[in-house]
Amino acid sequence: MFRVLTLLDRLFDRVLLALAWLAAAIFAAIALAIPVNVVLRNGFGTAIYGLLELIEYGLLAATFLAAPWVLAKNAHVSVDLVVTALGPGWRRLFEALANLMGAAVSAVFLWYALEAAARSMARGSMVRASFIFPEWWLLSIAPLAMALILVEFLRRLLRPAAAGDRRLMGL
Amino acid sequence: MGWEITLALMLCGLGALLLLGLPVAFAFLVVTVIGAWEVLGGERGLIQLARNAATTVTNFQLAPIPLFILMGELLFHSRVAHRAIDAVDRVITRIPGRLSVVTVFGGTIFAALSGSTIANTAMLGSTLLPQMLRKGYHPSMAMGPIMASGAIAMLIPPSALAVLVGSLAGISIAGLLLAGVVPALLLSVLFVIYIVARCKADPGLAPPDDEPDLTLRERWGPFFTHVLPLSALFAVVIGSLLAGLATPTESAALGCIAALAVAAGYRSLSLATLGSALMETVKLSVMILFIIASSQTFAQVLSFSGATAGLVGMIGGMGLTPLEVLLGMIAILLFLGFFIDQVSMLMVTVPIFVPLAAAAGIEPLILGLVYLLTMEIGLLTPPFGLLLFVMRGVAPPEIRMLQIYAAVAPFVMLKLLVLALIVAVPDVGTWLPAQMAR
Amino acid sequence: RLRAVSAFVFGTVGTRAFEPFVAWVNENGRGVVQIDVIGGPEAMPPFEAGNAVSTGVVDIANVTSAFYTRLLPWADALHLATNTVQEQRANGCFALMDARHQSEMNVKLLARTGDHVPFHLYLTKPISGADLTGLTIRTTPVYRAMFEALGATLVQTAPGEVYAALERGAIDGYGWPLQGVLDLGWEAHTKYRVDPGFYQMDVNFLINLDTWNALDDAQRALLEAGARHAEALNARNIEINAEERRKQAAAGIETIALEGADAALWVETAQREGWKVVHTADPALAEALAPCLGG
Ligand code: NA
Ligand code: NA
Repeated sequence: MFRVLTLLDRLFDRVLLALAWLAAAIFAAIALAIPVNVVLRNGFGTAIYGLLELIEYGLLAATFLAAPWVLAKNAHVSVDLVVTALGPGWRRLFEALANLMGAAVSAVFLWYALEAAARSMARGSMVRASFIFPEWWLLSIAPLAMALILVEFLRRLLRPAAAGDRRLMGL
Repeated sequence: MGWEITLALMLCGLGALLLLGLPVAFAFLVVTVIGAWEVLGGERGLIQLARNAATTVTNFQLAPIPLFILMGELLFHSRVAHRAIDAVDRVITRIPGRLSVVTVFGGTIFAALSGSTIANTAMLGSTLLPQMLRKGYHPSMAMGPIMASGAIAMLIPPSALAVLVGSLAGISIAGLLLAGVVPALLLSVLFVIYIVARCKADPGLAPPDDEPDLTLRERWGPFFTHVLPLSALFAVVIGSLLAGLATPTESAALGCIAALAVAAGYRSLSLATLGSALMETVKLSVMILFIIASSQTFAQVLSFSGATAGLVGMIGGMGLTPLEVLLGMIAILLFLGFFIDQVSMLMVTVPIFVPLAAAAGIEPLILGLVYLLTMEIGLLTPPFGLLLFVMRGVAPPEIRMLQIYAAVAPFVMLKLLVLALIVAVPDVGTWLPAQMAR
Repeated sequence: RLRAVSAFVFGTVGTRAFEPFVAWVNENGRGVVQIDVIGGPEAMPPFEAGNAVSTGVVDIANVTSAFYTRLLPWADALHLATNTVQEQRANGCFALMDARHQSEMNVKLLARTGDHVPFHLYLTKPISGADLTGLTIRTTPVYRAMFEALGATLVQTAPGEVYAALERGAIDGYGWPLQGVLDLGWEAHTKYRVDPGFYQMDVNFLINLDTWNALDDAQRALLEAGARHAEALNARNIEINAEERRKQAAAGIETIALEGADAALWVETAQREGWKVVHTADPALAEALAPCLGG
């Protein structure tokens, strides 16, 4: 039983990391595609079709898909003014409360974001700009991210972070 | 429910959740979800909220944020920035609070290369802070200059936030980018004067360190090899913009490529470097973009409840002179800066301030500068100040949050002083852009 | 009390009919029905205004059809109209469009404003005919197909970057309605406006269908009367247009007037390419709408 949990735990970390690399690839692609577009426009009188929209979709995907990894890395900023001033017992309580709130709000958001995607799918809304595609493709990104964030908050509840782990990493 | 109550409940709820230690983005989300249920109308309101949250980051105007961060991270992870700081370190000698002064000079130079106050602060913090603490600098004399000069990155081009202000407020972006230069240099000078004066009065703040005797070549050589070539980066970012080859976002992307080329030129680029620069970019950008998604939906719910209009209407209805209007705006922006992020400050106020300023005959560039300076101050004021969090991240664990607040306080005062100067003597900001037009 | 949002910032061209409409209803509807204006884009993202009124998050929205083509694919047809809304009401076209708004989007099309306000191409370089080859034009879905057919290099530029892009020559021009260029400050870096204009701006008042069905006859009559009042104001646009042309000229924007075959090609291309898009979305409805929208 314990081994299965550890395995799942590792697998989950892998999934989060893979999504973070996907976001890294998106940012790198944006940094490369824009200069290519500048050269095409100034040198060849043409442009990458629909680049602005592609970048917008890229920003959406990167923001949401990497958010669970950022949470797992403790890199979402938080105010530790009170928490650091508390004794260990109170601190654990506050942390559990914060994780519970986080889990609750991501569950609520997940539910309604799913509902938004499902309704869009049901009525067949299509995005009609440079590219024509179903709107629910865009609307499913947020619920996917929120589901992972919910799991991450629950994981923290079950396995409270060790003291000192609250430090912001890598900023 | 009256807007006053909604405003009070939402701000208090937000404050309580932040103090509980919930990550900022999720604190916004909790308040927004509850507010949306109440204000937007139950389930359908929450469905709308989910759609709006996705819409806020599907926004090209935000593209410079990861790009400018990537540019800074590339210079940081390839250690190009560190070598530049070392070079600056060598040429500044025999001055009270020497390393603090090095921090200000290094921060100002790096501000001209990076559009991210966060990357700038993190870079200064990770290079100079350990050194200063080891040499017995008082934590406030070590951390204050780092945060204060880290924040200058948004005033000197390239600047992701100046681009955003210009975009949203309809102010000439090239003009605004230039308008920030003189106030930023003024700030640096004031910081140096303050540091020297304080350290002279109280040498215990910054023990004089023993400087090795260097020849003129040893002293200035690294400056020419590691600092001056970086001006090419500045030239790419600003030059491509001024020459009309690129839009502001495009110049940011060109800056990334140029940073990559510079790092390669110093032979300090590897796949590992590139990978860690990219992953740090993801960490920082996603943290910021996620906050933007949640705080902008928060701002929407606040507007929807009538609280925003109510607050601004209250100020607008007082029959004020242009100066009073400007001061009122500054007061609101400073107040908002305590609690919300820079982009939300903009989003919440621009729709009202821009027409208000136009009606009062306030020069757009001055309004833009007021935005930049108040946003910069907002980065440094608790409880929600991004650079305070960054400092917390790079400082050793024994440093308390209160020490960080205390360290930055005098520098915030100096920033307020420059803000007052711009209001009193607008030429400080408008002179340089006027030269460009001629 | 009905809650309303606008997809356009208040005090701009996009609310030029909506503000008098709200004022009229609130003045004449005391004790019957009142409209609370919740806000503009700062309260509801413009592209979500359609969804918000469709689901009843708000009761009324002031929005252009281009912002809700996700919900109503054929809505591009609205700006292709060459006649007035009064004519569309008389020939049954308005009723047809209203019915389709109701069945497909759960909203009632209460009013259409913006008649007589054409779109124009604004340039930083002169052209001599209806040929845009070699020009880099900032585009939106409204006139993408037309500019493409005329040979332009199309780029997408975020609204906030248009000013800088013009200022620095990264784009040679953009499409925009006749009214409103001066509000954006873009005139500082715009040298020419190409005449004739094409299409007609459409800014529509939509009301949630459930809200509408829950109103009593007196309330509906009042809103309908307010809508007619706002639509009657469309005629004012002819004068405002003249004033706008004068102001643009005073701001240094010269007019490039295409004539004869060029002018005909310009307008024909606009209509042909525009209707192609609607045809792809809903062929049957396109057939039905084209004649009664004057096209
Ligand atoms: Na900068
Ligand atoms: Na702050």
